[in-house]
Amino acid sequence: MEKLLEIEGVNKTYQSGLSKFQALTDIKVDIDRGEIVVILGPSGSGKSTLINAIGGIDRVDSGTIHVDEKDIVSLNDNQLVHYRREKVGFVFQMYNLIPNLTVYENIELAANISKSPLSIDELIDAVGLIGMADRFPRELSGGQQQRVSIARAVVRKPELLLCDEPTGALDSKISKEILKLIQQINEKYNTTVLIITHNQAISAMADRVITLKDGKIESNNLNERPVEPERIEW
Amino acid sequence: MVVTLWKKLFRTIKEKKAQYLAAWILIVISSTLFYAFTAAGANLVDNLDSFYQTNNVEDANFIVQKSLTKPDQMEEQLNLQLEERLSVDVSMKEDTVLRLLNETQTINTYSVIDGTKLQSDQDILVDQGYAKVHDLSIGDHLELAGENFIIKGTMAIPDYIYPLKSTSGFLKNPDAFGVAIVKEDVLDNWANTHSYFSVQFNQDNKEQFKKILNENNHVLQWVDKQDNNRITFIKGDIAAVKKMGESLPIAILLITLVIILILLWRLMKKEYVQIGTLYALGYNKREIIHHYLTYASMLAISGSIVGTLLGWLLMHPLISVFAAYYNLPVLTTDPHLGYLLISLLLPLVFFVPLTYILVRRVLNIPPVILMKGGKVKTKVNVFERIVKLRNLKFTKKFIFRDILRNLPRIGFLSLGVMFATLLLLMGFITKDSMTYLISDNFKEVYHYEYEYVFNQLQTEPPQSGQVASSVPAAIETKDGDQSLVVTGLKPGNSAIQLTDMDGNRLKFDSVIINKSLADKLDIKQGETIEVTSQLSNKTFSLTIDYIADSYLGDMIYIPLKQFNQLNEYPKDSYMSLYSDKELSIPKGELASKSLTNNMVTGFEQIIQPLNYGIIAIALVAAVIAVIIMYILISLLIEENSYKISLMKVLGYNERTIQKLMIGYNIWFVILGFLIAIPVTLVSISAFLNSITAEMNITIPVKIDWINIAISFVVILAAYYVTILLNKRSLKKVSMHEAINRSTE
Repeated sequence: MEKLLEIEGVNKTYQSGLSKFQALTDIKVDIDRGEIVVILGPSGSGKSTLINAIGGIDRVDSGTIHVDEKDIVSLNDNQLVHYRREKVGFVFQMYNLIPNLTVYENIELAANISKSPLSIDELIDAVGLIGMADRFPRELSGGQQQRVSIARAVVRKPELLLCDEPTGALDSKISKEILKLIQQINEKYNTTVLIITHNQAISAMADRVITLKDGKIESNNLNERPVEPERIEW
Repeated sequence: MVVTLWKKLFRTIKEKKAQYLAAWILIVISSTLFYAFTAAGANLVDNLDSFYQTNNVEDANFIVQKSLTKPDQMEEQLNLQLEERLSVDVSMKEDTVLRLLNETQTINTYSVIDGTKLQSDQDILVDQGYAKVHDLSIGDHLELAGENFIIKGTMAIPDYIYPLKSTSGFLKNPDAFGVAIVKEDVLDNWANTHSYFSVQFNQDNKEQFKKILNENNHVLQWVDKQDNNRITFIKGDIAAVKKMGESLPIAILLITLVIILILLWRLMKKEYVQIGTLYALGYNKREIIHHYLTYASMLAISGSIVGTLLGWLLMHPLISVFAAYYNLPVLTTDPHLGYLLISLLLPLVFFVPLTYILVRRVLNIPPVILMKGGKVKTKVNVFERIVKLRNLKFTKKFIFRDILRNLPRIGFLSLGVMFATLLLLMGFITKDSMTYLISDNFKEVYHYEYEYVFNQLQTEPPQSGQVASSVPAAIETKDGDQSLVVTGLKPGNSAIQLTDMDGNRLKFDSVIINKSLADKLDIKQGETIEVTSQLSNKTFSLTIDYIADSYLGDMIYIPLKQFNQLNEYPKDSYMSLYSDKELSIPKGELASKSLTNNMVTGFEQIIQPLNYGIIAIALVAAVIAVIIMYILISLLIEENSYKISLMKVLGYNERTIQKLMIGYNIWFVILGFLIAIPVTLVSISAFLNSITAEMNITIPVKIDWINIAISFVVILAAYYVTILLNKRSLKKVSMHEAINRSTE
């Protein structure tokens, strides 16, 4: 399969006052285009740091991160903005919607800076929010808000969908619906999906499961038999 | 900026409409005041200059002992214009003087404000102020000293633009004095007219002209244009209008700038996660900066446009009021593009750079940190570390800690209150200072009812009254000549009573300078100054013995004997008489006769509209105080909503929460008020000095304690209104906030 992401020797240290914290140590991982990858690990294991570095919103101290053969570590701030616009979609645990924009406008916010976005109306229907285009985030449930967040991330047809604990604030039923939606997007647009979570159950739906501990990769395994999200044992 | 972000911007403003509206109102007030006052001032200056130029305002006027024999020859020889002016004071009713002046051809020509030009000997044009007060209209018949006139209209003349009876007067009183123009023939045939000359120089040869005049004649009186209060006072007043228009709005803008920076900083802090998300979505720094900068620029642009429009509307009545007050014909009203542009752009110029710095500072935070809602503050500020609160009761400890953590906000609250108080006190101080100057200081110094100035030096002792002589003089300073009046008085004179700055009565056997002049010259007791007489050009040295507590006019008093010696006048001669009662002196012997009482009456008439002005200023000040305090306290509630919510969960009632979180602000409101008192006194003193620099008075800054008390009540009322307005916000803080936050 074609490689989309190649990470080589990535290190990242945080400094807090006098103390240093090694968030990532010598990370090496390759991810194929179209894969669903679940990055597992407890709090402080470095999974958010890794996904932020891949998403180009945080910088690493050393190493390379090649996305589509381009090393994003060497990009300057403007090039990184361009990279985020063209290649990456983010889904956050707390949805991070703009509270005073409607569902439609929140998606439009991302569509506006894209060259050829998907149809917002179609996307709203696709994520199961029919008739809710004019609602404000506060008028939606957590699951519905996460659907908006996914639609916003997908509207620009990103090659890489980075989901940071996408079900962390949701109950199991809704979580499965959201994961199903992510899987559908992966299938429909051949989007590479990286899901970071501390919930081991989610790894059942992944093509690849990477486990992080104390900033190091503990395991990196292919899942021969991914299950449908609705069949995940929560 | 992308359309969606515009929607976000408008909705954010809508959500916090009270705060943004308050800031916007301040911008509107500032632009309105700036444009209305500066453009009105500039238009008045333009109209005045154009009027002076078109109507050939005199450079000086003078009285000579003998009539000029060959004025035409002098004009040719010295390249100047001379024109004789005739005047006579007539009485329309008791205690009212209407000064009839002849129509001139070259210097000080008149302009008709309303009506038609003079055609016949029966025609008369009256000054606007006098006509209004005495209810005179076009076509009315007037009988003056037995002669019948028909009013043809109202007019303005450059040498009586501020119609004062005497060139050294201070307050016009249209009730008691006015001027009118009649054909020259009328006054040629009138008995007891007073004659003087107006002169306009085409080159700098004033001294040469005076020298020639003094060769075969005696200059008895010489008044330069700049010493003629009828001509100069308007400039001082317009300067005050313009200064007010420049300084006050800029101060309001500065306050608004800080408010907007606080609002924006607070907004961005609240939107850290959103900013981080925008980064993650692929927005760049420039787009995000543009978005947040738009808050400030939109407020600035819309506020300045509305403010400038209102300013334009306000400018017209303002010009009319001033024009009517000064008897000035309004020839043109120009929008004054310079001021228009400044008014439109000033808020933007003020706001954009600083908001840019603020936004840029926030955007320097890495996106990852922004997405986490910013760095958790772990540092304890230095004051908090120094001040040990352990032994205090919980309430006190809580309040003190809150104060120590919010010093910049509290500082700004005090500053805002200080500014509002300054505005409030400004009105009161102006009134109290004027009252002191005219009612108190004038009455303390001048103990006579009538002043008679002869048209020739008198050598025979008078039957009644106290004698005096005065000459206009000048002192050379590094900033040019300072005009003054040197008055000679007999040592026992009691018509003028002076005290030194400690209140000790001064005798006129010494050289006394009044405080107004001493301040302008920065002169101390014991110092010597060189004084040049404007009449004879003779220079003499005077050593100052005392400084008198008097502010009207720039005066030096010396013994009459010394005065006559220095001016080479006959021993015991005099030019004026001061008297408590009216004297029967033939009109033909007098250059002028004035009543001190008219001045006090004039002042009382002027002070009445000032009272309304003070009420208006007080209202604006109170509104500004409410706006500043409202924004700061609502931000305080917003910033502490989690704490407030938690306290509600813990069972604190709203009253206690208000006491703990907001109540202490009263002390900083009081602090701001107290600081404002000396600051206002100093700044008003500087302001009054700058506007009276060109006038021959100094206005001592005074404030009545009762007015300080009234200002305090206004500020306190504004504070409690703010508390009332914010009560709802406090009530609205939900207990869910604390619970939700803890689960995140």
